[in-house]
Amino acid sequence: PSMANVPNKVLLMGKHNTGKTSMRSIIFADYIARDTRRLGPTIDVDYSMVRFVGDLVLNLWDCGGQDNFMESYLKTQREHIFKHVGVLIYVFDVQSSEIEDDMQKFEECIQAVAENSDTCKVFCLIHKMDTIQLESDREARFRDHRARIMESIGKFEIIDRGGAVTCFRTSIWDETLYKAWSSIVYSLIPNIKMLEEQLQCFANICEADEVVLFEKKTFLVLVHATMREHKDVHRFEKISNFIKQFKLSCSKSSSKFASLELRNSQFTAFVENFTSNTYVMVVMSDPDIEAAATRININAGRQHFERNSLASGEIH
Amino acid sequence: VSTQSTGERPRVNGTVLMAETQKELPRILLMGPPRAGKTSLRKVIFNKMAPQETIFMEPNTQVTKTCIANSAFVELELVELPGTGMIGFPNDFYNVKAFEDAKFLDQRTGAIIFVLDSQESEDSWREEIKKMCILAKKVHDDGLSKSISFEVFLHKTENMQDEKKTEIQRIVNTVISENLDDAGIGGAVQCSCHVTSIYDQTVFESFSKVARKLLPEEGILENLLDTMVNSCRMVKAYMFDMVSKMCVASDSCICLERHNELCSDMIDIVIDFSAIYGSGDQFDPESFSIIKLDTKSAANKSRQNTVLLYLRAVAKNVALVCVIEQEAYDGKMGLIDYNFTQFREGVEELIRAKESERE
Ligand SMILES: Nc1nc2c(ncn2[C@@H]2O[C@H](COP(=O)(O)OP(=O)(O)OP(=O)(O)O)[C@@H](O)[C@H]2O)c(=O)[nH]1
Ligand SMILES: Nc1nc2c(ncn2[C@@H]2O[C@H](COP(=O)(O)OP(=O)(O)O)[C@@H](O)[C@H]2O)c(=O)[nH]1
Ligand SMILES: [Mg+2]
Repeated sequence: PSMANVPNKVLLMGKHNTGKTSMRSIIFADYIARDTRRLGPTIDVDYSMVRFVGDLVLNLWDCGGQDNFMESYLKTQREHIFKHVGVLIYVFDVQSSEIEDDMQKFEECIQAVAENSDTCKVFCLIHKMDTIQLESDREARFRDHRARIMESIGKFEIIDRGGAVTCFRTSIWDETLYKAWSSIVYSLIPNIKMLEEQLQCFANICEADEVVLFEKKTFLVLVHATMREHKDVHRFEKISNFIKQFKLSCSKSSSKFASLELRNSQFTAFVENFTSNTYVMVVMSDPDIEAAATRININAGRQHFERNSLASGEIH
Repeated sequence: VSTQSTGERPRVNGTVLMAETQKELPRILLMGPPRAGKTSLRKVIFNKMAPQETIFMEPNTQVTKTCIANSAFVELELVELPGTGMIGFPNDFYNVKAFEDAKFLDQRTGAIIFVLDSQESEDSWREEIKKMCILAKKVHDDGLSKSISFEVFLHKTENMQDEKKTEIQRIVNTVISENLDDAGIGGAVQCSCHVTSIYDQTVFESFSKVARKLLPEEGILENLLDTMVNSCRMVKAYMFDMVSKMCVASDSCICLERHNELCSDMIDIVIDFSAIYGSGDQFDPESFSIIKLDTKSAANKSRQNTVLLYLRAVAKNVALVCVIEQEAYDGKMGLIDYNFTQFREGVEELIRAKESERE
């Protein structure tokens, strides 16, 4: 399917000061978490266009959340804002003390998007989780909040949401941010199933334990092929976070991260530039496979993926 | 006094198995006003606490003694004195007697780290430095000024511009020398000033500098590193304690680039990946990693070249991280391997000597 008729507008909404611009700046503009303290409030809508893998271009609309802006989105700008929306990302501040009002604003936005974009997917982020100290409290608060959201969403039958609204708990200070945004991007990539199958083949050929594709600039996980079960379910977002942090350190000392090879008695991991807009990670645990062989496989895979699945502007 | 332990030493019921050797560990005192960041600094370096988590920290009102025994080259006792001005407490500087009773001022103490909040007013630092200098006088009078150095950590500087950092460092240095001169001990006590923050590498670097002063093997390690760097035409080589990410030694060559920070970040990556795909915290002697970087050399901005960060496990929780240019690496892996083995043997010998000395 051509992208032309698939809406690719991504609305980033939520009340003032909930952390929308912070997240966007970290994921797409290489900010470090600490520097987001310097961001001012967003005035009206901040538009940005992010070229992703393959055909995917994200039109990110970061909508300033102060009351007067919210009101104008819902009234005078209603169509302009809520038409052709592919994804609505709605952000809540977990510290908020006015949850009734939060939910009301949320419902108004859902109503508007439901009327104007009937295929829109909805992601809710319960943000600033780091402000709660204990993990057990975090989880409890997240569950409560999610229940409230589901209750609100239940009132709207109109949206064809392709299943459900997805909620994530996030914080700019840890890997939860990458988890949420990887899932959002994943839901947007066309031909994702085909890409997954091809990666699976590639992992088989390499005899790898695991192969992961990352988007080059954001280091968000696009797809992975896991051949052996693994205990840590959060490992992908952790790795996104580690490497992104390392990339930022590199740019501070005016160098650029190129590749990584990490080995010990139990595994070897390679992270390499793959196609023009991806990095690949290959994890091996079979000690009989030479690193050189894996590198040859990565090179072969690179050509194949560049030609077949990740080229931009082509339709398959 | 509560005793905690970090690192890999076997523990029995929470106490450290080093009762006999404990008295020999060099000691570092950590002090300064309340809320300056002493506990945060200690937890971030030695307990791997994330910097942003320190905001939940309760004020500390006890003397906290931590024995750190991460690796052969990071073995010390860190004593944190709470900043609250309780009467008769060691931090009540005007009461030097109390300080004496606590027996913290002796040959074992190698450094006193004095943490100051750089976001507080200049007047408040002046006040604190004045107190510190009373202590310095005491150290001098006890004849300990050769063995105890004073290290001022101007802390919480993550948002400060470089010029501003230089400026406040200059102010603090001036205030210190004024006070020391007034006490008649100008130039007689060792005192240096560092600009630090838990949100970046500065706190690790500064603490490493202090701890290295207490390490008797530093000269030998430097020689070993120099030999390897010269034989393999490396740019720079560092030896790190993997647990605290402290740099315990580096070669003597002066290098324009600030690779230190990246090498330390590399340790994080290696540890993080090993925790996921390897056997967790366990130290793996076969640990070997390469990170390639495309860089512009400081000497010649237009020249683009590839530099390798090369990491190898040396001894328990000790890693070597070298910076080497691609041309010096390609086809010379055998040479590098050979030199590394020589280097590792040198270090192992040093550790054996250290252990037998202790017995
Ligand atoms: N503790 C914590 N603070 C955060 C987090 N994310 C963002 N912040 C802080 O929240 C403040 C507001 O962030 P912004 O990103 O400007 O908020 P916004 O949603 O874009 O606000 P508007 O543009 O006015 O709608 C900043 O000071 C951020 O540093 C988080 O995960 N945890
Ligand atoms: N901005 C900033 N805050 C810090 C830094 N180090 C510590 N803090 C904060 O300072 C406060 C006091 O820290 P704490 O370690 O309890 O101080 P102590 O009383 O000296 O032990 C905490 O809220 C820390 O989060 C730093 O480098 N930068
Ligand atoms: Mg904003």
